[in-house]
Amino acid sequence: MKEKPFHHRGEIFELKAELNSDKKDKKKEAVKKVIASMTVGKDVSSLFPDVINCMQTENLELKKLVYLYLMNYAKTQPDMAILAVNTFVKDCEDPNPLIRALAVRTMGCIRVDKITEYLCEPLRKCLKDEDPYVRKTAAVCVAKLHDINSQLVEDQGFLESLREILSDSNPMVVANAVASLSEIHKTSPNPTGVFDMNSGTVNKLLTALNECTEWGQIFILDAIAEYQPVSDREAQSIVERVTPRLSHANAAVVLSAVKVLMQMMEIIKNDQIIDQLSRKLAPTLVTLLSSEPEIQYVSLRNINLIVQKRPEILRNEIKAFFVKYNDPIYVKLEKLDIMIRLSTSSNIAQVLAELKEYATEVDVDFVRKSVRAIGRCAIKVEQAAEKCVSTLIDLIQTKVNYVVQEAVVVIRDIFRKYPNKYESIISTLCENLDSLDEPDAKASMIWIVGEYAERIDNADELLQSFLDGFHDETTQVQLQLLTAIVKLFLKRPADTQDLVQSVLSLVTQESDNPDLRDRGYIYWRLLSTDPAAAKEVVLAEKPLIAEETDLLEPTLLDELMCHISTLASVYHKPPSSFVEGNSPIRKLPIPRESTTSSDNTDAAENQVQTQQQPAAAAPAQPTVISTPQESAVAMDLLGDLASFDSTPSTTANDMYAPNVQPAGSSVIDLLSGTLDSLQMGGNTAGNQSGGLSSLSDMFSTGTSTFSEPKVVWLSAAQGKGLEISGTFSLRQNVVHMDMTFTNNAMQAMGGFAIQFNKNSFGLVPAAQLEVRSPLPPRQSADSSLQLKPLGAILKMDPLNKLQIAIKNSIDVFYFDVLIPYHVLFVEDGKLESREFLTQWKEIPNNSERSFDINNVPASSDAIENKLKMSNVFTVAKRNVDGQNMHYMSLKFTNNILVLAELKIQSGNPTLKLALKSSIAEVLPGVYQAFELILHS
Amino acid sequence: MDQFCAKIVQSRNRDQLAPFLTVGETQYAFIAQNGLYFGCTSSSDFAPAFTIELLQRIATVIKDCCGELSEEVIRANFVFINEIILEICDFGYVQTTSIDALKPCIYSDVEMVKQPEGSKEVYVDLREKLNVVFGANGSIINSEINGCIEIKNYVQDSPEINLGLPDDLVINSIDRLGYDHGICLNDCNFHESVELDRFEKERVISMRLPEGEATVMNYRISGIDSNCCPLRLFPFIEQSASGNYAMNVIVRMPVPKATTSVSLPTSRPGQNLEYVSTSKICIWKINRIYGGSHTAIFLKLNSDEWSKSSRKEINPLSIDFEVPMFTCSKFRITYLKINNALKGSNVNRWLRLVTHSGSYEIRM
Repeated sequence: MKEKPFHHRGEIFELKAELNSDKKDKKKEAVKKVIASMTVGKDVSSLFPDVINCMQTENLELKKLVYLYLMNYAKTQPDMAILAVNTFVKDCEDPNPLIRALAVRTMGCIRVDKITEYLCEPLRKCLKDEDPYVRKTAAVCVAKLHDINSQLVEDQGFLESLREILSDSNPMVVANAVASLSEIHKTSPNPTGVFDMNSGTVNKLLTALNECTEWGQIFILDAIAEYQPVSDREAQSIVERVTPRLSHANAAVVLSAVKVLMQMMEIIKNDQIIDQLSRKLAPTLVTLLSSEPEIQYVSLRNINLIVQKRPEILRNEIKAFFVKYNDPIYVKLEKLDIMIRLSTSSNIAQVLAELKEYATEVDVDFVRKSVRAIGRCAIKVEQAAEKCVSTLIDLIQTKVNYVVQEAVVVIRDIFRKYPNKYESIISTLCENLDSLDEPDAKASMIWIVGEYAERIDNADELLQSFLDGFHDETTQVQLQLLTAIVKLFLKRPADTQDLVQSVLSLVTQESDNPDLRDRGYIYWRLLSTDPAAAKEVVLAEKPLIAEETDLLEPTLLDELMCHISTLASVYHKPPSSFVEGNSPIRKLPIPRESTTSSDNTDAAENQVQTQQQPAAAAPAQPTVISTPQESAVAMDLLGDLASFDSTPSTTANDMYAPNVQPAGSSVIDLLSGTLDSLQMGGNTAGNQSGGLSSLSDMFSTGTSTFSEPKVVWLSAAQGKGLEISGTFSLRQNVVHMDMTFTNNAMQAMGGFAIQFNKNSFGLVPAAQLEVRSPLPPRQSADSSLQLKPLGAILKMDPLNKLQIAIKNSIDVFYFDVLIPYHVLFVEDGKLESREFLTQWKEIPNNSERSFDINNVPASSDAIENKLKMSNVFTVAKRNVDGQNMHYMSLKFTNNILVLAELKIQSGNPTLKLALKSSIAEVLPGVYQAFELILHS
Repeated sequence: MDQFCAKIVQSRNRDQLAPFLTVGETQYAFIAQNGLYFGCTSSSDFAPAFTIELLQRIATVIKDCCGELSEEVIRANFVFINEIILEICDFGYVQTTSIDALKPCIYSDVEMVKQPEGSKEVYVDLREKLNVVFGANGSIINSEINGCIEIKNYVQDSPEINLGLPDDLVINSIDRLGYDHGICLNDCNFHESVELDRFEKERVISMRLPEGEATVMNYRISGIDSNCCPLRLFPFIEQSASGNYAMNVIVRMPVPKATTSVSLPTSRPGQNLEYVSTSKICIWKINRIYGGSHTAIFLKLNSDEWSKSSRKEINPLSIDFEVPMFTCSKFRITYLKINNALKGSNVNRWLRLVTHSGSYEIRM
């Protein structure tokens, strides 16, 4: 049926006529045409009723074609599809088993709810059909139905039926039942009990294993792999019966068998059997490498896991992993990895000879990995280190640029592993200095020069030559260069002072990178204050590097062992990381691994959280994150802060860097500081507003409440050099947060921004934080921030806690402060005396608190005035027995009303205070506020 | 699908692409055969080896049924292929890939592109692939023979085919007890229809093979004797198996990067030299080398400037070749019997042996 130019409408019309023809042959030809159009992607859904009409036929071919059509289009026309139900049900009882199977299979593929309702009865019959072809089709159909409506399958007892046919006499039926149950188990919302295996079922499966098709064998082997044998003996008998599968030509069967055997090896205690099994596995695994490259690749990824788990299996087979020149690159790279894992002192000579050959090949990636592999050999097998080093030197002599660079990088690692052993080659390395152009190689070379500065006569010249191009280097190289020069200076202080001076001033003054600047400043300080300490820090002995690199985490490895032959084993990632909704695997055959895959993800997530949590909490007070709930809030805050638009800090730094001087030249510093402030005063917004606010401070003394002196909120240590002290005040009935920012760091800061966490009073900044930016080192700037009570409310403990995040060009800092209550009292807090009375009565007595306020020598009127200035209003007063009773009211920004009764006895400095509020929690705070106000 | 195609088209080097990729939530697996891509998708943690085996099997089934694997065939038999794939996998569960089992369920017509080579014929091919790496001094560094017995069966009704193998065949050297003159296989595996018991006991491969092509046995021998290698190349090629000849010998020789041109001072008939300047490789093609003979080539490499390491860039050399009616391992099939259910019909039997190079590499 070749494609023809398709005059759509005309053709459909023609087909319609043919479908309704009386002649059977013509009908059949028409349906064929329809299907042909459908399979090449043309829309023939409009013929639905006509095609359905052809369904009732004795002709199997025609029926099959109609079914094909139905599978494709039923979903788009669910109402019409119902018309087909009767024929389906009838076909399920057809004497021809092929038709019965076809009907039940097709019904399962029609994902229309109304049809599935009619499917249950025929399906139940077909599961017990006399013909195995029908039974096996029905078994798969249960999985299909489960995918559409899992509840229905469980309610109708189909799972029970599936478990029954696990003992079917036909192996293909068993295999399909296994496949079906495994699938249902994986996707079911409540997988417990769906597919529990016991020795009986496993036995049945093992019997069916020998007789079913290769694909069925895979289903069965995969199911057995998830079974945990109860005893050593049972595991052995499973091994015995699965081992013959290793000589199957189908690599998938072999890999599934390998999976089962690897699992059983975990359980079997008998070393002799393990040994035998290992010897059987080895040739099989090697043979997998003779298959097509795709299979080789899968096998190699799996072998990579097996080698990490049980290196002894392939100990003697290293030659199989030697690379063939015509292997595809993805196979070559995998083989290299395994070669390294299998290398030991006995085979290292061979491996090395191979690697040396590979290093001269054409493919750059492969060559690089080979050179790296030589380095890994040296690190792994000590006896071979010398040979590896000489091989690397040979390779460096080839002067092939990327080979030299890669070699330099690995030689650095070799130096780390075997210090003071191979320094003789340094001169060779130095000869190739000019050819290095990759940051990795450069950094490695610089590290080597710094580390062995005392043995390289011209180390200073070498480093100087790197320093000349300092600005063009990557950060990695710059950092390394800085450290190397400092090392050199500590080792040869006499003639390298200029060098160290120039690198320090370069990194501190001309670099935009905070890491580099910080490191520069640290070295500078160390060197200028205590060279001995500097020596201890910079030239400290380094920990040795690990022998084997790139190993997988043991837990991950164990989990992946359960997934041999699956995609997870190819990606070397747990399935949950790339497949959504993959439920935990049924049983974990490896006893010591008690977590399931999804648990693992949870654990991983937890880990991520715990990792992030300290990061968020660290700079702040420890109390900020006291409960998980709060920590989540803190994370929110972190997230919000990340969205701050950052002021580009570079310009700021460029402006200030020349004025930055290291410790010791404070005169100049002061001078430049003043100059700066003179320069900046006129044009920086931050400064202007700062000035204005201090002006307003001066003029508004009369109307504003008192404020406490500033206290340190964020110490310089916590703030990476930024110190913030501050206080709150109420001016013109607006809450102000007055802060002083002091830059104790060695670099200018800029880009200040502030954010509050949700708090009990819903305080949020009413404007942007304005701090003089950039703020040069050792300078302070005042800033006043108006607050408004319009934000979201979250009850804090204590109530007046406010969590603040401040961001600047260096980092984000978290701290919390306590807002003094009195700044939260509003001006319209005065009640009418009648209202006061009503309120007083309404508030239950258990919301009343009494306090003593000591040492208030002032007169009754003075007290009244003082309180009034802080928006605590006297509603009424009377004199009883020489005691002045003041009845007062106040209101918080969030409209909480507090009533107070203050007893003042003339001559007695102790006052008695009774407070009442519908929200009693605020009362202790209000008492504190009274104390503060009265003692101010 | 579009994303998949885009990825394939984007990829710089198509032959070197790993057979799996993930795009978003979907996993793709694919194989390439005859310039066609067979791919499938999954949203779960599928078994890659399984998938690739299956894709290969589907390709084989299509080839067996339609006679050829090409874009034209696929287009012409779209309905048929659609139907057969539905039979092979039901809801992703592979049911069978055996043509005999599939045939009764298929009703679509097949447009054969090429008729099979007559009926009632059974071809048995014993094929060995040699992977050898020679060191600079002519010694063997690593060697392996991958052998397989392939049967093309054009007899219907699954005739029973018996292949006799040498009695002295031993498998896996650890089982070998003292004598070493037999043929020793390191490992072997079989088609699912082979009766393993009979192989173990009688060294007979006995099976009822469905119509079509199948690999009935794969074997692997590692570590072969240097005398067995049919071709040797030091600066010259020599052959040790007399009476035979090697066909289509291709020697690939990388030349130093500095090479500007290559000239061939002497030329012989039946040989030719091709120099690929972009990849700096000389390809020397020899149509036929007879057993016991040797042939030589002298190349003059021209360059403006030779460096010290140039000499090292001539490395490694590789040879592609094919030696008919010869097996390196001396593995042989002693007899081939076919018991056809239909008495009286003569089945033509053909047995071929061929050794060809897998990766035949000579290091300088």
